[in-house]
Amino acid sequence: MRKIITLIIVFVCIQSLNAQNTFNLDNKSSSIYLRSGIEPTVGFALGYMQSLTIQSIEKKLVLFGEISGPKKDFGFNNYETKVGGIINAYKYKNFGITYNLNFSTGHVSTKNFGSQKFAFANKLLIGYFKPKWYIVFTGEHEKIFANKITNTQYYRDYIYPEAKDGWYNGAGGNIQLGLETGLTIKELVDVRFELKIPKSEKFNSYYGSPAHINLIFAYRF
Amino acid sequence: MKPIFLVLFLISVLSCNTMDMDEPGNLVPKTVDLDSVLPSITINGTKLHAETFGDIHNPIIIFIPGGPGTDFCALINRQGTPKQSRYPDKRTLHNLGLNQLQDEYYCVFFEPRGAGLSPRFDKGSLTIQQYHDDLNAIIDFYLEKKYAETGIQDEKVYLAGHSFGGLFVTSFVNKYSTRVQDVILFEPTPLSNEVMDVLIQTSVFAMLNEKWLNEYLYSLEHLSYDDHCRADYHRILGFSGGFPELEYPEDVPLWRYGSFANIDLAKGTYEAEDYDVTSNLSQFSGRALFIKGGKTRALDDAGWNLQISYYPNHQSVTIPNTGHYMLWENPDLTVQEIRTFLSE
Repeated sequence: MRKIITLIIVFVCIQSLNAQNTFNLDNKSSSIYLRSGIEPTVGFALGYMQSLTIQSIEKKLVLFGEISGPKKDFGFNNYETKVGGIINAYKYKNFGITYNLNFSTGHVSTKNFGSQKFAFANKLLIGYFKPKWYIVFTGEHEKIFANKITNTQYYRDYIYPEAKDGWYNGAGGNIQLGLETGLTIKELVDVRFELKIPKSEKFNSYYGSPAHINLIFAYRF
Repeated sequence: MKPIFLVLFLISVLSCNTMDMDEPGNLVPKTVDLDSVLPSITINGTKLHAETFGDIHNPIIIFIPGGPGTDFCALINRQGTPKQSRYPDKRTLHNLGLNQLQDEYYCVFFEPRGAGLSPRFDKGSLTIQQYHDDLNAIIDFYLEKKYAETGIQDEKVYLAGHSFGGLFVTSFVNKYSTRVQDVILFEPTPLSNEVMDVLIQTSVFAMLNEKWLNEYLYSLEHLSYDDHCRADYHRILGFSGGFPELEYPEDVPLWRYGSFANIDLAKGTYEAEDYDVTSNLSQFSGRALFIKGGKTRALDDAGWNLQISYYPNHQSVTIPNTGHYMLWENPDLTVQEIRTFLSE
């Protein structure tokens, strides 16, 4: 029953991929997580992580997949899926560096256009890890390499009739710098919090929320 | 390793067959510097999108759209009719909006640099002083043209501005009051911090569940603001929803929302700490007609009366059952009020 309640709590909140799990997954090989917060709008995500050990380099690799979306109008028109891997790049006593590489695709539907995007992201976490808690600096760069844009009839009627539908490059990307901290609150349950400042990849303003915040619950099994 | 090869294959295929999001003409229209078919004038070395209606023998009215960054599309269209082309020769309907005044006045519509179909300028490069310099040159241009074509030597013009255009007109009159006969202001942006303080605007936090805001924010995952076209393409998503008290209809037509002009001019005027474009209006000998939409709730009566009081000689009229785009929702009544005012 306790496990069911824990799972419900996780589902009510939201997600993030999280390099901390490369440390906490020493004794368990799998984890699910749920994240809730503002990134870039009020939204949530659900993810699964699987820990592997690469014998040849004696490093732990965590593979993950997640689905996320906005709280409002989540569905086939507004979602993002992400798959990737996290590796312990460096560890000395309690100090650690982890590297996350992932690929994502997602769709957004707006009054003016629909966009299916394809992107890669790199994320680096540098910080202090203890068995029951951690605090890290995070840096993330997401590069969008293709969008399939479909302009709406509304956009054609009221703004730009000659707008071209099709595959586009050059949508840019974004950078997020921030802080992340986490705590093991039960034997198998972690809670984490992240605060990130988003910028465009050329360090211009993001023109959305000035900060992204997330609360994450993870359950290891 | 197979998924990696698949992704690399996808990248290579896409790189051969994709369009550039930052190329004007793909997702947002080309501006006058790139599209020679658009009507334009060259002012201070820069081509600006401008169109005139009427006989130059008549008094000149110069109309300026709002935003900052938007265009005069809504000023020459009307609600309930198909949006007309930005190319004058391709229009099927005429005389729909404020250009109805062309039977009595020489109507000039233009977009300042960075706005609408006037050329794009990099972020951080536009100032209200440049806008003043351009408007001074535009006034010279049309007064000289009038003199050359008709022998009539006018000294002044009428200025009309919608929303931010009203702020722009007022800031110009505040500095160059002798160049302007009278002004017509369609719900101008607050003219001082004193009015900004009493502006009624729903907080963005109260709108977190609004569809437009979710679309605006969530689509930031799909493009960034590092170049003009994608910034313009995205910023339009916030055009009608961000200020519900203005009662924007959903279908206000637009050609281009100049994103960086919007950012620069907002920062340089009403977002500034010492913002006030009214300090010298007592020197203005002309009259001001303020036109308000009956449904607009952005200023209460006290706020509106404060706003109009900066002009010593002012009048105020309300267009019933319209919002901030009263000139597009009911151009007939709006034009009638302008005619009455100018004929007095």
